[in-house]
Amino acid sequence: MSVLTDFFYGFSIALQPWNLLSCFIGVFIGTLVGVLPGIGPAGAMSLLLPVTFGMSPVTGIIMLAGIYYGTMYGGSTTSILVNIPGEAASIVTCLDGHQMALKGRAGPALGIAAFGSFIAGTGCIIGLIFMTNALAGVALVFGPTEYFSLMCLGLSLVTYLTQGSILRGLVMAGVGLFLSQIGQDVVTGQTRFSFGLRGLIDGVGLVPVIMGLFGISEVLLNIETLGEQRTIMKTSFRHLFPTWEDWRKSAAPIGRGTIIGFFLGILPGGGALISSFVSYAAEKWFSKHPEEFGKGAIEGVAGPESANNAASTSGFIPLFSLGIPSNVIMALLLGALMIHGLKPGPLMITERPDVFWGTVASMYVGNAMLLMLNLPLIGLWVQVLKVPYRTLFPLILLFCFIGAYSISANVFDLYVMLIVGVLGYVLRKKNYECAPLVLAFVLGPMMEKNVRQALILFDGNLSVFITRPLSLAALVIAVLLLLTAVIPFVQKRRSEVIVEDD
Amino acid sequence: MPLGRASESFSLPPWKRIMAKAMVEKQREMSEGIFWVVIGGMICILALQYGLGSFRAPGPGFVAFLSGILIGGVGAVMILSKSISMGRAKETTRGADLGIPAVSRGRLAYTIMFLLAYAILMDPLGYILSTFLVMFGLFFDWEKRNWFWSAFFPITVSLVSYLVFEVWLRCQLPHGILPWW
Repeated sequence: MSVLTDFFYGFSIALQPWNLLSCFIGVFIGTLVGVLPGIGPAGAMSLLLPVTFGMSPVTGIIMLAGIYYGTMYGGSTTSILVNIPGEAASIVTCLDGHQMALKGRAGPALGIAAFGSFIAGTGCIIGLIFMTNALAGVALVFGPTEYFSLMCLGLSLVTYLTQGSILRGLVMAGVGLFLSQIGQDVVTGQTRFSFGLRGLIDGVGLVPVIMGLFGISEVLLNIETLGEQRTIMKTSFRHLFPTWEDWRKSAAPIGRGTIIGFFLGILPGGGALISSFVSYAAEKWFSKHPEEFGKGAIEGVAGPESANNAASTSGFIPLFSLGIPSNVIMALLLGALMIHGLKPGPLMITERPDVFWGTVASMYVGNAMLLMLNLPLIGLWVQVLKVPYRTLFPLILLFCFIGAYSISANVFDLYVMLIVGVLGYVLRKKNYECAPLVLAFVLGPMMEKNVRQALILFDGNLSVFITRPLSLAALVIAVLLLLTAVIPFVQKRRSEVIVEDD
Repeated sequence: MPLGRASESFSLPPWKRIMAKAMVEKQREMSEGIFWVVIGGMICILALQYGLGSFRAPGPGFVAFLSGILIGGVGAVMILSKSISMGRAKETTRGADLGIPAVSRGRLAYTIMFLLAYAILMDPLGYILSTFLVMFGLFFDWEKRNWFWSAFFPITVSLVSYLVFEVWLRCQLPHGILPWW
């Protein structure tokens, strides 16, 4: 009963005019970003992060969260109509969604993607409410050793699941960890690794790093294919509502996708991309006609689209309950919460119920808005797709510059963003993934604080990390994950999955 | 690769070409490993300068030292392993084409140059003027050379973005030589 009361309290926050407006702006921009190939949710969220500084924390977080789950909706539009995933998590939707469009069934494909996402989002919000509360209760007994080990586990999972070589992922995590050490030491207050540059005394800013890695480098990568033309389906959008037969076929995939997405979204490194692939594989396995997959099976759209939306919602659970981000987007949200002076973790639910319950309730409101936005506005999104990248990329670059500058009105941040952007471009060309770097960069200060606290607390006794059960379990899993990746069979299977992802 | 060497390699039998390609790949991975060992080593030296402290009282360089060990250690594994992508023959979807396409090089250099100019000019010239100049450079279509649209877009973008970010959202953008704006 208490949960229900809290949830209604959340609605009273989410339905306030400013919060409602920020939710709408968030999901609208999210859908736009999802539709447009060449900019992802991380880039869009970092672009809009400075805009939230003038808002109350809850209003800002509602908008940023809206962008994230909004992209999941928008990504399906490009996958179905253009066969280009607007967002990585919609890659798998291309397989059957575009085939449906080619057969003149673009409407039902878009419709089931939107309805499936709504149902999954709604289901996951209920799960989020109960699970976050339960986890937060457990997390209250966690000490610095457990937190440090859990962060190590999260980092190793993200590294394990990155595309390409694990070694490269580990290097990126190391670089992120080092970058996070630049600036003042939390214990002694000593300035370190600033190389005499005044701009580095406070450390490297999160926003310039994110914008460099996900904004500038993404644009530089896309500039290479500037001349390529997109072919957009000429199809009727009159019949967006799936038929009864479509619903009959899609009901179970939506249910399974919701469950798969929910649990994979909680896991560090899991997220929307993996869950959409697992859901597709599951649907193919459960189907009586697996041969229809890849030729326009509606189950191949309903399952993955539900799964990616569910995962994007359940990803908030470890962030809100433990204060540990499960992926790059959550790392960015963690950064945003900290900029707003909030400390995500088990105490946040009791200390700032307005932020927690307001954000949770806004997700429900946002999902309803997305359903209303996506179906009638599909014509508009198709028009947006026609905007050539030549026109789009200067605007993305401009927003990156405004975002990085407006954080502290300092040109130094622009240089940092540019350097990180060009380095990010080179590294991505060399098959290095940016996700472990960003996660390590955000987790770095927390890891440092916890490891130093633990060592001081237990008189320099390193065995404390392996004598406490939860810490031991997290560390063992982390090490095993990295070791199993070296075993040839696992390595082969992993690379196959990753190549399929690509 | 110079033309002479390219034609020379094409005259090789297929198995020799594959071997040569594998050697180049291996050398590249080796140099990648060496690069990270050097970077890791440098981070460790820097961290030592700030002090590692002890396990009872870790110093400011403690975690940075660990990150240096991680980077250098992984670099060493890269060197030692026969190949980074051993058993991942298919892992070449993007990594295979490591070079930048010739047609894109000029475009990339041009864009980066304008971005650098933007960072340099933003403070002295101010937001509106520097944005106009940079947007003009980025929007300009060298193939069509349509001056009207090339000027119209940058003017609109500069003014609208100024209105949105400076006036409505109260972001602090530099005024430069146009102090009244």
